[in-house]
Amino acid sequence: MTHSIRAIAAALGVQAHGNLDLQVSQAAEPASAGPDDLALAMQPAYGPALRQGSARAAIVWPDADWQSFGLEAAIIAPRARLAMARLTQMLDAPQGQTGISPQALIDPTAAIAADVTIGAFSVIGANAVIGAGTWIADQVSIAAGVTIGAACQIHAGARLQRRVTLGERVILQPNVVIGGDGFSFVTEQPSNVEIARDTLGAADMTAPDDPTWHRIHSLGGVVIGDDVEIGAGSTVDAGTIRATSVGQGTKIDNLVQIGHNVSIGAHCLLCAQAGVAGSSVIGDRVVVGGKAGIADNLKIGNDVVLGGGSVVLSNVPAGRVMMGYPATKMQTHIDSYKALRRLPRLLRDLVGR
Amino acid sequence: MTTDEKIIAIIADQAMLEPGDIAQDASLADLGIDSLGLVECIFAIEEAFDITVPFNANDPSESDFDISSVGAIIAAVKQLQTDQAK
Repeated sequence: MTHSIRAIAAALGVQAHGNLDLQVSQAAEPASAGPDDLALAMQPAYGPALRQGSARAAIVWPDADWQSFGLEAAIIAPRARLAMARLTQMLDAPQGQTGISPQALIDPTAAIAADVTIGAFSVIGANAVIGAGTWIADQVSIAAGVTIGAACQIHAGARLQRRVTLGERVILQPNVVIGGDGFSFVTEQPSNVEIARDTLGAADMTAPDDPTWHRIHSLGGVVIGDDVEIGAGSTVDAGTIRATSVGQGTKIDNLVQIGHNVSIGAHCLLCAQAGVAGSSVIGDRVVVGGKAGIADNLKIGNDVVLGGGSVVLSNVPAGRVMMGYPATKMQTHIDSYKALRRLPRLLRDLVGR
Repeated sequence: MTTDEKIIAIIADQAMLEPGDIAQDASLADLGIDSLGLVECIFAIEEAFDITVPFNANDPSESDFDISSVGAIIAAVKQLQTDQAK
């Protein structure tokens, strides 16, 4: 399938110059682009590579002297990665299979809307509801009573446990698990972890009389909002009484763990290996850097940014940029770190005198 | 900002409340601030007022610094400002 330069520029919402009827078949790196490819050269640094390749059309940076690169047509992209978002959406092939596989096991009471795809060896439980146009890959488990909105994409190996609700256009990458039981246990008497937290570790711990961890069952399920995407191998545990929730438009990377009763707002980003412990409430548009952690029962305000690897142990007010362990304001962390780096020299000078 | 307002703003930040919702007679526990939140408040107070708070994190009740209520913290900070200005 080919696209005209005119159609691509329209899809990107940007301007194009030259032969707008030129057809291209795929996107390519500028140096290796052939005559039917659309070269991607959104930064001046790609100029020399454009000359090496044989592309007739390219997406170029603003002010590029595109004709000097031997191009017949150019699309101007003021914001390179936004152009990539729209271009890749346009060029991506639809998911391969369609229709319901004869090897899928679907409970007769499940309500499957029109245009749903269900792959082989997927299991759909009793009274599950699958919205129109939703695409379910092979080997997906959807428990009884689960509700899935329209136009979702659920990739191979995903598991949706009981009491899970997905909004519309949700994308679950392979092996996502939604609604596993929460990690929630309690002892008869206050446990060592409770004592340690209350006293900040003032005294050594002793063996409790009864170490038994009593299981708190997870009855609350999970609610995932519209347009949420969850990366491969990530997990969202079920709430205890109320649902664990992820707000609309939030994007979660691979290998992220969301604990029970957590509430995540809208349009957040949680990068790989981030972890959110039970019952913490995260506002809207929060960015959690890779490997960052949020302890349990905390509140993180709107628009907070947590640097990679930071670990939040107390509440964070709206808009704050945090870093380090324990996470502090980024500026405070940098000041503290500078002081720490200067400490050896300072001590050497002190001893020297 | 007055000293009172600065301290209330620090506590409000940690409690995730509006400064107007911080009553003088409230304890930090009333405001949902746990032990680690208290440590953050103390550091923020030290930084804001350039003072050293004689605070025993392992046993807050044994400290010379009275943290029993918002009003007590304000009074203690004012006392420290006077003492440490000397």
